[in-house]
Order: sequence, then structure tokens, then C-alpha cells
Amino acid sequence: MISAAVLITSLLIAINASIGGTFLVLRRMGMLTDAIAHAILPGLVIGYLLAESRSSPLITLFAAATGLLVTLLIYWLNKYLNVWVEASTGMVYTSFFALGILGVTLFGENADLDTDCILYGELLWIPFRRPLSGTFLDFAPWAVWQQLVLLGLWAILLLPSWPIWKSISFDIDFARTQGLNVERKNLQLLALVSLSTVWSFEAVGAILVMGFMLLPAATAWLWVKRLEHMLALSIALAALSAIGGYALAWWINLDPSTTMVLVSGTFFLLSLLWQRKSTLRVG
Amino acid sequence: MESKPIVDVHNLTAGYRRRPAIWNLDFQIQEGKFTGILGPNGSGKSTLLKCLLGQITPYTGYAHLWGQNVDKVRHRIAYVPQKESVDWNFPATVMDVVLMGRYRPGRFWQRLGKKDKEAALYWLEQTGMNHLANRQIGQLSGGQRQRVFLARALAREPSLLFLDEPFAGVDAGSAERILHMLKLLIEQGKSIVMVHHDLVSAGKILDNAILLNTRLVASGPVSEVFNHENLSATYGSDLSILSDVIDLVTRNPGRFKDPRNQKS
Repeated sequence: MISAAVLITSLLIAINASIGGTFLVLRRMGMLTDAIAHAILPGLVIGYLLAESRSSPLITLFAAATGLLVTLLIYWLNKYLNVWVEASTGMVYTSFFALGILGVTLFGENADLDTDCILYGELLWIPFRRPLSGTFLDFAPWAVWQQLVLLGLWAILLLPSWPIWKSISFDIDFARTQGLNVERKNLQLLALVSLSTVWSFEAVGAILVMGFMLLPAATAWLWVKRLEHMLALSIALAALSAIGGYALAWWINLDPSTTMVLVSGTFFLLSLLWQRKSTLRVG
Repeated sequence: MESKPIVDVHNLTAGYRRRPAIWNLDFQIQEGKFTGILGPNGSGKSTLLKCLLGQITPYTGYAHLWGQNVDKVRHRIAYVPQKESVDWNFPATVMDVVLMGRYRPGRFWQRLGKKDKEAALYWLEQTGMNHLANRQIGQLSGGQRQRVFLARALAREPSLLFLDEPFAGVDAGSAERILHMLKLLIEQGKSIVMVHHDLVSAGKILDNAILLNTRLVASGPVSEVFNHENLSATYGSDLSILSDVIDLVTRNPGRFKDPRNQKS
């Protein structure tokens, strides 16, 4: 069965994830997505316990806040205690994830909160999660509204000050000497990445979300020589992977989020091989 | 004519993670001069530069520019970092990088206009990089990268330019071009503060020098501070090159020459 809701949701998720991913890949901070996706588990549990329902915005709020907290902890450990960034990422997110699993085991039994859906997501259930019937929001599933809000936030963040994002991503110290408030910009970016992870993860799970974020961006980087083009190509590849992956899933009857990441990964591999060939030809 | 102090450093102690790398520095830098910060590895040159640029907060004392905190005068300064400090695989063209010098904070809508592009083009021409404007920065040589960084800084049209070892790993042609540009800036009345490694060329190109070895050894005109006592206090007394340097400076004070074409 082809569901327009599932396709549109995954398209939007892929596009939003690839925007955040572009900046993470350039800053060699790709693993952060994985860290956030796992570390928000305790936030989910707390939100769930307080709201006692799965669709409450409290859950999003707590999860996104936990994601941001984890990001800041990693940053802080690295900057002030001089812990190597991979080490601090590993330390922080595994501890948070363990805490979350403890929470799920203790409180998750009489709730339909289980580790499977957290790890693998449930894209096919998306159409059944809708806002209250009778309101105009009922027109589309929650996930579509969430992703549209996110897309709007990315536009507000990036469009008016695009040159500044370029400068900060390339050379953060130079941007700082220009008097740009780079810490605030960083925080805004990480908050959106965190929110993007939280909202994607219900659909595609804690593991595959990294593929959605990083693969299109990493592929695009192999082809372009300007940041604008990298972002545009990254979005296009994300959209293509979502559509291609959905078609593949429908054809061989698989979970769509899996095939989407597989298609994305294939793009990356092919680009890598092609670009290596062309480099050899020039050299 | 005595020029005004543009940089005023008083009782400055600074470092990382509560370990000072520079101690109780006191000196001034004159306006319109080409000033070098000199010292061996680990002498705190970079720490001092970071203090001047406001990238780290000092433990004691202050480093003022035009008598004010650096945050108040950021629009009047520019900075050429070491070219190793960034990833040159970043997706940007030469033009993109030079335009980065044009951004000024404060406005909500911060897109660049025609005037900014013209300024960027002008400085690309001045640094001899205009024919490479659309090239991806990863394809540039070391010297070309340094020239792009210089063009980006000059696109800000600063009154005071900071450079961190601009001649390190740079080919002779680029070094000559960069030095020529810096000389022109001084002629136009701008001020330059440069962290520099090579003592021999320092004697020939600089007006003033700050000799640093975690503490201040000396500061002032090169012809006065480059003596045996100061240089051995800075670099240690076992350097046989020291007497050669002093010879050179006393014979040939304050002249602009390409350091690469001279033999010590």
C-alpha cells in the first residue's frame, strides 16, 4: 500500500535532517547525531511519565532539552576539561542511554514504551498519529506538522544570516574576532539539530537517523566547491533517497526507513568511487 | 615624531586551564608601526596574540586597543590566522573566503551587496589572486592560501592588522607579495602586529619588536632591542646566529627587503 502521508513525512524528515547534517559533517561532528538520538531516552521517559500519553508535546520538550543538554555537556567536557571530543561523546551519551534504559525497564512495563520502537522507529504508523479530529490540523499527521515547523525554523535561522553561517563553519576564530556571537549561533544550530533528531527519531529510530543526517551531506561534499551547492545537493539527495527508498520498500516489502538509508548509502558509495576515478584521471 | 600607542598592555598574565603561559607583561605598541612579537616556541606568542584579539580572557591585567576593550573596536581590526588553523577541504571558493571578511554583526538581514563584492575583488587583485577567484580553496598552494587569508583580512579595511606567522610554509613569490602588501599598509598609516618566527628576517622588516620568553624581555625599536643581552635572554645564549643577526640589524636597520632573498 502506498501511503502519501508516509512518503511526505519521510521526505520532510530527510530534507530537515540533511540541512543539519551539512553543518555537522563540515565540523566533523557527525557522531553527535548518534549521541543525541541515544541520549534523549531519559528525557523521553521523564516526559512520558509526566504526560502519561505518547502524543504530548511535553515528551518532545523533554527529549529536545535532553538532547541539547547532552550536546552542551560534550562541548563543555571537551572545552574546559580538555577531554578528547570522541571520548567525551562516548562517555556522555552511553551514560544517558543507560539511564534511559533503566527508566524504560522500571516504568515502561505498563506503558507502550519499548526499546524496539526507540531503536528502529515506526514510520508506517505515522499516518495514524494525528492531531485531534475536528480541527484543521487533522488534515495531516503530527509528524508532518512537526517537520514543517522545523523547516520554517531552519529557514529563519539560515536565510537572513547565510554569510555568517559560512564564515562560522569555515573559520570560527576569525568569525569571533569579527565580533560575531559565535557561541549563540552554535547554540541555535545545535538546538535545531537536537529538535530535528527528536522529531525524526519517532519515525526512523535512534540508529537510522544518523544515516538521514550524514549520508546526503557527506555525498554532496564530494561533488561541490561551494557551501550553497553542498546544502542544495544535500537536500536534493535526501529527497531522492526518501522517494527511491520508499519505492524500494514498497517493491520488496521492507521497512521504508531502512531502504531509504540504503539508497542514501549507495549514493555515497557511488560518488566516492566516481570521484576517486576522476581524481586519478586528473592526477 | 612620536606616534600614539595603539595597543596598551598592562600587567597581563594569561594562559590556559589556570596555567599562565605569559606573565606580567607591560608594553605599548605605537600607531603606524610594523611591530613583531618574537620569541622561541612556547614563549607565549600565540597566547599574547589571543589576548590582544580577545579570544581568551586574561587572569590579571588588560590588553587594550585604542584605550578600550577589544570588543568595542572589532570593526577596526582584522586578523590573519595561521593557515593550518582551518580545513581547506571546506566547500568554498577563493571569492567566498574573501567575502567572509565583509560580514559585520548587528543587522538582522546580513546578506552581502554589490559594494562588498567589489571590495573583495579589489583585494583579490591587490594580493594577485583575482585569476583564482572561482577556484576551490583546497586546490591552492600554501602561499596562495596565505594570500587568500590576507585578502580576507584586508577586505575588512582595518586600521590595525594582526598576523600569526604569515611567512611560515610560504613560497618565495607569495612571501614577497605579502611583504609588499604589508609595507604598503604601513605607508598608508595603518598599524601591523605580527607574530614572527624568523629572527634574521625580523631584523630587516620590522620597525619595532616585542621580545618574549613567557615574560617580557624587551620592547621597542628593533635597532635598540636587538642586542646580545636581549636576544640571548629570549632565545638562550647558545645560538651562534645571534651575533650575525645583531650585525645585520646594526648595518641595515628597518629596511624592507624580501627575507627569502637574503643570506644571513
